[in-house]
Amino acid sequence: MRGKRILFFDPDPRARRVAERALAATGSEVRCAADSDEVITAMDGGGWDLMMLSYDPPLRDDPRWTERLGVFEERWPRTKLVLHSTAPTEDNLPLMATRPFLRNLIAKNDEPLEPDELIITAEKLLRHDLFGLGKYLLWGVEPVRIEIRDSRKKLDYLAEVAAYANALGCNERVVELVETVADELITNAIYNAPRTADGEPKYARRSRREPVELTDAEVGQLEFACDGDYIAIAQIDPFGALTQDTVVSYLNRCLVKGPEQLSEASGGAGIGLYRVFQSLSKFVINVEPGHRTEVICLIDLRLTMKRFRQQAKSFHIFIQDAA
Amino acid sequence: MTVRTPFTLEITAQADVDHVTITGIIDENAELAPMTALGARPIEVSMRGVRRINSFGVRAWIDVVRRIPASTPLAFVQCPPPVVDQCNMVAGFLGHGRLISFFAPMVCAECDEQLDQLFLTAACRDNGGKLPATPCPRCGRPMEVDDLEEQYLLFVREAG
Repeated sequence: MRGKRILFFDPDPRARRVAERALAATGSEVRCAADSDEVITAMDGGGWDLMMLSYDPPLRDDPRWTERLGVFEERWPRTKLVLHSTAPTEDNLPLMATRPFLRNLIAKNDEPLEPDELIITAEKLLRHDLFGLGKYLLWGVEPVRIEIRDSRKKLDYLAEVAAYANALGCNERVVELVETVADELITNAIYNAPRTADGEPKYARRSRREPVELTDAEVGQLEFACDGDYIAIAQIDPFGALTQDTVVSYLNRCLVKGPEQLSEASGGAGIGLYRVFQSLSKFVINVEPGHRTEVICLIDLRLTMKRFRQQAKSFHIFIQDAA
Repeated sequence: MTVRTPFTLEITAQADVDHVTITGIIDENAELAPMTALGARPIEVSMRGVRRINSFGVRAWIDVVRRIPASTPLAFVQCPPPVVDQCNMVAGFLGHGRLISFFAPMVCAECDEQLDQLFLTAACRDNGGKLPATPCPRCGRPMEVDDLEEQYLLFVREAG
């Protein structure tokens, strides 16, 4: 985006080359730092709209960085921060629990970085244009849309998603991942998302065996699409009640195998969110507080199951600023 | 083409064990209650036909296996990958039960043959927590599990 300044840091020259090209293509002014000294100096110089920084050593272990991360929001209140890391996303989730301004983690796997993800993330943050599954797919891909209204029709909704994945030639385990994601998203749209006029959860405490039919104002939407590389499944609700704290705390609790995984405190959503997270490659949550939430799950179809399990997952929470 | 798989639970009383066969999807439509009536005799649960378990199903399942008296021998056999995944991810998924045998998704790097191979947990434990060698039925080369072996066999180490 023209007129915006982006600071990018990664000690890997391949990553810097990818980022420089990708981010410059957005029209922004891009500065690529190659080492910790350079990035710390550039940070202190200020004036950045966006910082996209490698959260691997050496920066992660640099006390100067730790100190700056501790005061990031006060010191650079208008600067958005995106971290990228080779570490499993689970390792970085606790950091997101204590740093609410940190909402974007890009997984860095074998390849230097995906230019698409850098561009999409930067543009969403700089343009404040957050919503839409289409941003993550090639131009021309037309998502299938299903209205989520009645819990008794969940098997019908799931059958449509499964038929779509089968038609793509996905193997049995990928279809199971797709169904797992869709199942939990549909349940979330029906039972967890709806709010009363007072903003209180409306159906969250009901047994999932108790049928719920949403009113016209409560109806959610399930979208799914594929561009050859990724299969994407999205759920949209008209409430915007999901918060970063909720998502991160549920995931952090479930990542540790133990009694906390099935805590009643989440009204049943915790383990469901965890199952979604374990079944995807990229997790994107867009929230316009009080108005709408869009949860986008992307599964990389290019990977074997072994590679899928090995790869870190990208995790993004975008929150629409109040107008 | 994946077809909608209805949940079924069938209990057959055999000579010295109650045998339970479960198929389909364990979710809010799955009626697991008949299992809670068991416990007077050893129980063997065959899970080969389980296709998927959702978050409600995980909770309901754990609730049911917890109700089986700890003094009742409880064995799970022929557990497919969706069940193994749950054992590895969710604490207490098998209650006090033991996972006797399971399927692992095997792939041949040479000829791309894919199959689900049945293994005994004890054989993996005896093999240092790894899957025993599995030759490809098509080309004879050794197959490997299409998953992270260490992660897939977490339950073997935990039970050991």
